[in-house]
Amino acid sequence: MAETYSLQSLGVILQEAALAINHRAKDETLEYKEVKALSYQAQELLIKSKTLFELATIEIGVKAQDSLAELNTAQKDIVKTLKTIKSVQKAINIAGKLVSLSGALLSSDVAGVVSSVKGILTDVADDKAS
Amino acid sequence: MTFKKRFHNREGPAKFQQKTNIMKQKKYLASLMALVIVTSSCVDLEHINSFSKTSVHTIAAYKDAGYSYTYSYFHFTQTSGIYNAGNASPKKVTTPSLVFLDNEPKTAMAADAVINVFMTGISAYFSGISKISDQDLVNFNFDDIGKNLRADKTLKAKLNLTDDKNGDEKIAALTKISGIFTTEMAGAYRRKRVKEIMIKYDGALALSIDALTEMLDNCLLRALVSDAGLIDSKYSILADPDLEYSKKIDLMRECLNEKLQLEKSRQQIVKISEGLKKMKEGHHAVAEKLKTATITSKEAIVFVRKYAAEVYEISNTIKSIQ
Repeated sequence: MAETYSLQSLGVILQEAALAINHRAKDETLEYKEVKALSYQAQELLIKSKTLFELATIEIGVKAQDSLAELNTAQKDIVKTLKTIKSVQKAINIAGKLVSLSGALLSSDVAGVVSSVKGILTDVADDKAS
Repeated sequence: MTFKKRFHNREGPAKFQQKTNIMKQKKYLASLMALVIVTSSCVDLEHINSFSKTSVHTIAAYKDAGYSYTYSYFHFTQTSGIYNAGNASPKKVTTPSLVFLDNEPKTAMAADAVINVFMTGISAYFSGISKISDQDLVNFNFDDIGKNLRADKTLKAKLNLTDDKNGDEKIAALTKISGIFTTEMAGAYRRKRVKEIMIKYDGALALSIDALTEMLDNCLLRALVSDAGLIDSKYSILADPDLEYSKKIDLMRECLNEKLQLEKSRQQIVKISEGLKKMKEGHHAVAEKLKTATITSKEAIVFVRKYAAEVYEISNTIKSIQ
């Protein structure tokens, strides 16, 4: 594959040639036919230059893909951090329900125990799923 | 005789043990309170959050610029020859035809995809930093625990909190202190993680931004110059001496609008590139500072605020161009 610099510089060369032709086409002493012919040539060169710039963009991306991949791994660190923080909140929520469970156990409230255990199990299951 | 023995002899082992436990508890509570006070004195991560959020907004402005290789292909390349056969000439009118190229818009789309992947990657990084540093992320409250504790008489009795007024006040104080303590502990953890992540990924971020700005400055903006040239050559029909004056005026207006729109896109992309360079510079300066300073140190905050303000300014300029 051609070097990025070659693709870019070739694109610039074609572009500058086309812009010079366009400039020449503005010469009022030219016949309209000549103006049209020059404009057509400029268009051809400009369109080709754009393809070269597109290819150069792809080339730059390929060369820098390792850096981007490394940057993307930052997401794992960030997600891990967020998960840790959210786990603390979850633990607090579960602790709140454990208080109810303790009360139900101490007062031998069977229905209360069942309800509290269900609530805790739901929270634990949600935590695992997240 | 040692103090411990004297104490032991005078008050008995049970009493001595009880006093030791109380002292231990007091020491423990004192350490906890000291920790809460120390961590509470730390400034939050608002400045980092603001820098990251502004960076995300600046990157998002790329979509608003509305210029891409694919757009360029459909809007400028394909329509570049509509007046070539004298379509607008009163003497010869032919059906306009579009210009088609091999491998297009495939190549244009692939090049746009590359730019978008880098934009998304960099934006996701700043978005992540913004999430961890978000003040609203941690708001631990122990209200449910307090509520359940207050409502449960059996448990209150077990915990010697039966005295209604004092018991409830104690529970309220306990839940409040627990909330502050946990929030501050999580805050300290967040500050530590933000610092670690910023230092660890500074190099990768710099290289990714370098690649992206090279794509924008040396390729996309260059393609935009080619499109400005295509507008000139497309409207070379204005040089046709047989073209009616009123038609010429219409075409001139059309040409001017196309150029104006292209110029707006150019200015937006230039500013986005400038913003990206500023993000890289700011991130690097802060990461370097964090190697020897804390994230809440005055120097670090001054640095982040400076770059956040600069990126914010660029972001505002981009909006004003739209």
